[in-house]
Amino acid sequence: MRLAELQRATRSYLLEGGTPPSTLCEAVGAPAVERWRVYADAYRIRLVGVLADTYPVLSRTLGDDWHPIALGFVLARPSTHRSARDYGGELAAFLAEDGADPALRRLGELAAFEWALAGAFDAPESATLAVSDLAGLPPEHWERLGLAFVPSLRRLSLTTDAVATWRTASGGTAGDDDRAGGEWLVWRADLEPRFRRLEDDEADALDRCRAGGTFGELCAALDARHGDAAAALAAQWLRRWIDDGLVAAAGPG
Amino acid sequence: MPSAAHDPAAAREPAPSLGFGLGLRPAHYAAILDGGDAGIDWFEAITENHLVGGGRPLHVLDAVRDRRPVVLHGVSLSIGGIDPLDFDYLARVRALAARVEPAWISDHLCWTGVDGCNLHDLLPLPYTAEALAHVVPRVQAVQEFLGRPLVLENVSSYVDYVSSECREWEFLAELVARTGCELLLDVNNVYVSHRNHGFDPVAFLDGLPRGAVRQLHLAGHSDLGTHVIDTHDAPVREEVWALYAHAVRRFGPLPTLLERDDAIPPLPELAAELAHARQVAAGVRARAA
Repeated sequence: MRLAELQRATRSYLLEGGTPPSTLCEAVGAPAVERWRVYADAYRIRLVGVLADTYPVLSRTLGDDWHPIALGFVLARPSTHRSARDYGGELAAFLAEDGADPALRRLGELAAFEWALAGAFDAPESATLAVSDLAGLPPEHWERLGLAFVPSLRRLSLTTDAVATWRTASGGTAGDDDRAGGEWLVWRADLEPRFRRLEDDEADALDRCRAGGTFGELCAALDARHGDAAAALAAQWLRRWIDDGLVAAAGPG
Repeated sequence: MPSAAHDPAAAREPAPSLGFGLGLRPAHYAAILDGGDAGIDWFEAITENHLVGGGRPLHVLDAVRDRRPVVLHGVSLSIGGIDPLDFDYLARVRALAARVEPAWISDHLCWTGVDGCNLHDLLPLPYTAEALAHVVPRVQAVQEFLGRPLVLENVSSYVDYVSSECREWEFLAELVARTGCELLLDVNNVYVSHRNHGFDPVAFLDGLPRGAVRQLHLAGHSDLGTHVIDTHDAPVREEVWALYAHAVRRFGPLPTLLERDDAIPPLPELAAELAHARQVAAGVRARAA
């Protein structure tokens, strides 16, 4: 059998299961079907294990239901990644495909939250801005100030109590922050993934700045609702973002 | 064409005497960085686990590298795959190598996926002239790109192909002769494949060119009676220690690496197993003296 034919037949068998095709069972050694099953079983065990590593709380939360769901994903979504660590990012969407089921929607959001944590965990390194870096900025430059954020920053808009579920299952205590739904921020600081809730105004401000909006544009957008307090509010958020280690750089927008 | 540095006819540099090392796994990160790595001379890091932008995986690798020599061991090069070589992946490997300066870079003689799908397994090749003609220029291209010899490991396998025209060790020897690549001889894999396919494991070792073996691997396996699975979840078995002694007799005191990927015990337990490897190797040398 030609190399290409052999590799494609093997892939089809590993992904689809069943009985290995006769072309592969020409393998030397009588128990060829049993031997090929070692590879088929290993494929499933390995990728389900990869998902359990990436989604530790989701897998614990699901208990006995985890394996069939994870296996369903593995069989439906083969990996296209060199590193197994990158596999499984579509699990949230896979779980949410039946959007009418609230339980699946919550599990989907839990998956999205854990995927964001995993992404923040090993995202590229970046310098972070200090408040003192802006100390000498002339007042006229604030209008045009734009922000670059660290690569580990992720934003989530949730509708369920997925974060409270995660925190409780991780041994933490659910707090006021964990009420259902809301806007969430995930990033990395001191090598550890961090997260916190954003109130709607701050989330809108952060999204505006991430999209390239300047500090002046942010203040103008806040003006309608907050009037004279707009600039102070924007400055307060900027200070928090810098203190959290979210801002990589600032300069003319 | 291979570069002059990879010319099989050129004299090989002797393998650095790294000693006895352990596969670097997250379960041991804290213990290693706390100084609990006594008796472990070097570490082998899974390349793909560290092909990330930043964070703890790179932080730990840098810190380990500050303490000990490191080797990069890949699992998804797919040197035998029919898909084109992935130079984006290779560029990331090259960048990681520039960062950690590994003693060498290894992967496996196998294929791991096809048509863009990665099966995340080390699948055996048929040992045919077609496969050799396919793999040789790919090894040469990788060596050219990385600027160093590629070190390729023999995989454990559960199936063999009627289309194979030679034995695995003959294929490896011919690959070395044509490309100047080097070999990571996994002694446990030889044992596992010998049990599954019935060949003579000593003939495997004796069939490999002496100067080409850069490193040895040791690991545990599961014996299911009808066949043996390379599980890396248990101590090295007696039969594999015996084969290891033969490898040391034939190839000399090569850098030896213990792999453990499941049921991972505390670091001191693995350091004790490495101490046994030292004893076996020292015993072979004492008898030879």
